[in-house]
Amino acid sequence: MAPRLPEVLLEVKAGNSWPPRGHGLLLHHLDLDLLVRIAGHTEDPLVVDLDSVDGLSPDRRAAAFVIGRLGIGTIITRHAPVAAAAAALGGLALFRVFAFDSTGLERSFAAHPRSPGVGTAISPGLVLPYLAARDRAALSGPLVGYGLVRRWEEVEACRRAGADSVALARSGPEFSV
Amino acid sequence: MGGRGRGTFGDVEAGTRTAEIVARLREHPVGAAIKDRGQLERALASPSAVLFILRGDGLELAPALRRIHAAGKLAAVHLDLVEGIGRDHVGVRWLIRAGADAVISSHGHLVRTVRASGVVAIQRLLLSDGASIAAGLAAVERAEPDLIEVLPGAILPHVRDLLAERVRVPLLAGGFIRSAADVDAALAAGAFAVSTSSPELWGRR
Repeated sequence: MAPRLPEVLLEVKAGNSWPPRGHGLLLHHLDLDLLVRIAGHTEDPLVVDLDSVDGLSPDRRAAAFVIGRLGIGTIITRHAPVAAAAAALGGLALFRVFAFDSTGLERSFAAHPRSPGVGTAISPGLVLPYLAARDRAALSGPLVGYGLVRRWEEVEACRRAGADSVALARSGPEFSV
Repeated sequence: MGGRGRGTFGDVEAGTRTAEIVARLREHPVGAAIKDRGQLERALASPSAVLFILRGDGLELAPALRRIHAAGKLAAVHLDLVEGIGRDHVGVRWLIRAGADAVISSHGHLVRTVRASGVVAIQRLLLSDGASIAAGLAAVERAEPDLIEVLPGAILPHVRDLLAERVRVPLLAGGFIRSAADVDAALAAGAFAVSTSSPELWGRR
């Protein structure tokens, strides 16, 4: 069974201090060695942006390693075959959709595998409250807002806009846990 | 520094083609984003002074651009999105000969080519996460566009602080600008103008 997503994911990238315990973490822009260390040292729910890990190729082998060897249940990728492969392995895959304007959203979402076990990570997450209701309704769930959310009120706005989970960047002026 | 925002980004040299397009957009700060012929007809009849051509046959744009000029308006063409045109210096030259007043691209090397060709170069800055902003700003600094268009423009009020230190040219906001409140918020956040495909906003001043 695919893992459940926490309502809030704290973003962690290379250079961040260790986050507070007890929160879901979204790991991105770090290297493979650090990814392995974090996976071995926390029981908190983890999500990995597979496309941004130095030392990993964003392909099926990498998805199998992350899910099978590291025990990380959820990956984010913009590569549809990798998302489908991760779902087939029992993980939750979040296909990354970029929403810069309505045309771009349409084009990006057209590549979504739309298969069981594959949800959607929309970037920037901050755009979710600005989408038309029909656009939001078309996105396959579970739906994660990922990118540029730095404030708790922005988290709440994304949740109200339909996000199952929201990634909160850890370097905003109003960030606190 | 002009505009009605709390400190717009950058400024332009008077008497240049960039100054002309900026002045036209400041007078009518909602540019019409055009995706089809129907929108073109509505935009020609609207108060919008600058039309942004986002789709269509790039090889056959000259007649449409002549109509835009005949209506007293200016045209910015998106090199990355129109069909049929190569994303290279020959494609840029074709669009300029067809009558484009400005050319838009997300690619720094094309922006440099546009600028060297003497028309207004608009570089798209795509905001998806912190890493993309850092990379995009670095690309902007290398390419030195005349103007920047940030997308999605609707979120500009939330991320203005991330851009303020490094953006040195006037900023457009495009993408998910759906309401008058979105227009006003983007202008208040420092954009000197917005682009939108919502025709009901094209006359807003």
